[in-house]
Amino acid sequence: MKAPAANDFSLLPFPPRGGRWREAPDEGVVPRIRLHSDSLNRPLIRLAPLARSTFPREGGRGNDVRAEQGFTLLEILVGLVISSLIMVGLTSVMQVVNTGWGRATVSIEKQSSMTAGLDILSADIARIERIVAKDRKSFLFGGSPAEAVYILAERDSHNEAGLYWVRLLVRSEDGLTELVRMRAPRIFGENDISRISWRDEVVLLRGRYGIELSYRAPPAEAEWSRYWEGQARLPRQIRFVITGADGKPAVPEMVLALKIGAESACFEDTAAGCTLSTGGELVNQEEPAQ
Amino acid sequence: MTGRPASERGMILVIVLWSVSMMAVIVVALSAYAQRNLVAASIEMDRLRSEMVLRSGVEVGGGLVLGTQARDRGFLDGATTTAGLGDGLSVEIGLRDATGLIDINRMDGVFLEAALERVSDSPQAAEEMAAAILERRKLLEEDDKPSTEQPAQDEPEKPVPAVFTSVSELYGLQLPERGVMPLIIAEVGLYSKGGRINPMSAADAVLAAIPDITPADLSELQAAKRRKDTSSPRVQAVFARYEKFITSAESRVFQVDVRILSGPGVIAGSRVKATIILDSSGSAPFQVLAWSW
Repeated sequence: MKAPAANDFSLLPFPPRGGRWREAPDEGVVPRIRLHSDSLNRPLIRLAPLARSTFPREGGRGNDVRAEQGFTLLEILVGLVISSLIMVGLTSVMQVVNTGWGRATVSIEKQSSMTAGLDILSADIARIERIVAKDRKSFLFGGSPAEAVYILAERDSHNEAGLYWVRLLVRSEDGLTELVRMRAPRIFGENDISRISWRDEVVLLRGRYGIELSYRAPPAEAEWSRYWEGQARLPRQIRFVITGADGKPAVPEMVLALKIGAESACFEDTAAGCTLSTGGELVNQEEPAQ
Repeated sequence: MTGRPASERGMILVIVLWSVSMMAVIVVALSAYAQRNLVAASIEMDRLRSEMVLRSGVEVGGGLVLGTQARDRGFLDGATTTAGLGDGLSVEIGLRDATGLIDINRMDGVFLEAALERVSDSPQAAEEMAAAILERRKLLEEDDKPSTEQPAQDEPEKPVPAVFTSVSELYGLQLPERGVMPLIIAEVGLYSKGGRINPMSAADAVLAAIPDITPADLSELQAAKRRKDTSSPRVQAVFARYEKFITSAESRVFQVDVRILSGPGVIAGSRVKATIILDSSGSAPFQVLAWSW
């Protein structure tokens, strides 16, 4: 087929892209060109659909035109279904992961908080000072199931006032239980616990727990006591029983031991106020501590 | 390339990439989270292990004190020794006779102030601290007067009650120059024989603060300290001259300073200082009087 003349609108006005003029096959659809004008009287050219085999590129497979046509409805629907399935799957996975993540986070935070709290407790109990009260018959220590009061020297980094009174208090509100540590500088010569102004509150444990303290001083007092106040000896061990909301132990019973085993007065060979030779018990005390 | 046209493959590629990216983000986040928790747990384990090692070090230190001849314990001046605790754990242990420290409970006021000045290098801080310590001693004495009755002649002399239970109480004196506190805290203690310190375990700065000590006597004491021998007549003469301030009496209280050098799963450099008292009457060979933590 020859190239059409400029005014010959019965034939194609230009060769197919990437191809060259060639004769149309007999069975092919004859290309048609419609020429009309729009409202502005500008010529418009519309190309009628062409059969795939009409103008195959030389050496090609003749599918370029179809490639420009996009997706069929069916393809889009199938794609959407697949995407939806993937999305639903991912959402389910995300939900599971998120739930697990949340549980793990809560659990880890709970464990972490409990570890930190119990660590502070352990360090505190280990450093309880053995200071004799002014009555010379008891140690400066008070203990009940929900409270323990004792004296210790804070670590250097947290120490601004030397010796401190420390109070561990179990308190409950709205079903939530807190184990709180508070302290107050020990004023020289002041031994009245009821006059202490507590400050520096720190919550060591918080949750739906039951927390109970008990005390003993084996071998002399091997049984756990719920109260320990005004006694001639310090407890050697303090037990923390922490139960969950179901009443079962949240952690195994924790028994913490006092690690200071003698009074500073023991340095003097003849010193009263030293309990090294009496198994930790104040006997016939004649000297005050402070 | 066979199969679908490039434009369709692109769309699917985008979906696949997006899905893979989402999954990758999830996996990376989970991995980072797990990693963080592992690191935290690992640090906690190391801390716990270090604490146990330090406690073991104190036990070893107590054993070393007990293993030292009684007459030689007075020469324990804080010099360190390295000890292995097994499994590659190594600690440095310093032992010191605690009667060589500045006794804030009993030491003579003049000696106390001079010693504090020497160790702190701050005359003002030393003066204020000594005054505060002496004031507190006075308060206790007044508070402790039970009656005006005189003790019987055959009644043994009562020991001076302890004013301070812990050296950390010095922080409570609220002195202005708190910067010198670490220097002072390192050299003060609560234990001496009636206020007389053991010069063989005292710091040179404290020896130099002994009231009216001459350079020759100071040198004699320092030489005896280096030789770990006080038996010579000249040294004994120095002890006699300054008997109000120094003594060679045997001590029962020692400081054990433990520092972790190395070992698997421990935090090197962690340290603890414990004051122990040898206990001949109790069930244990020694008891702890104070912990530094």
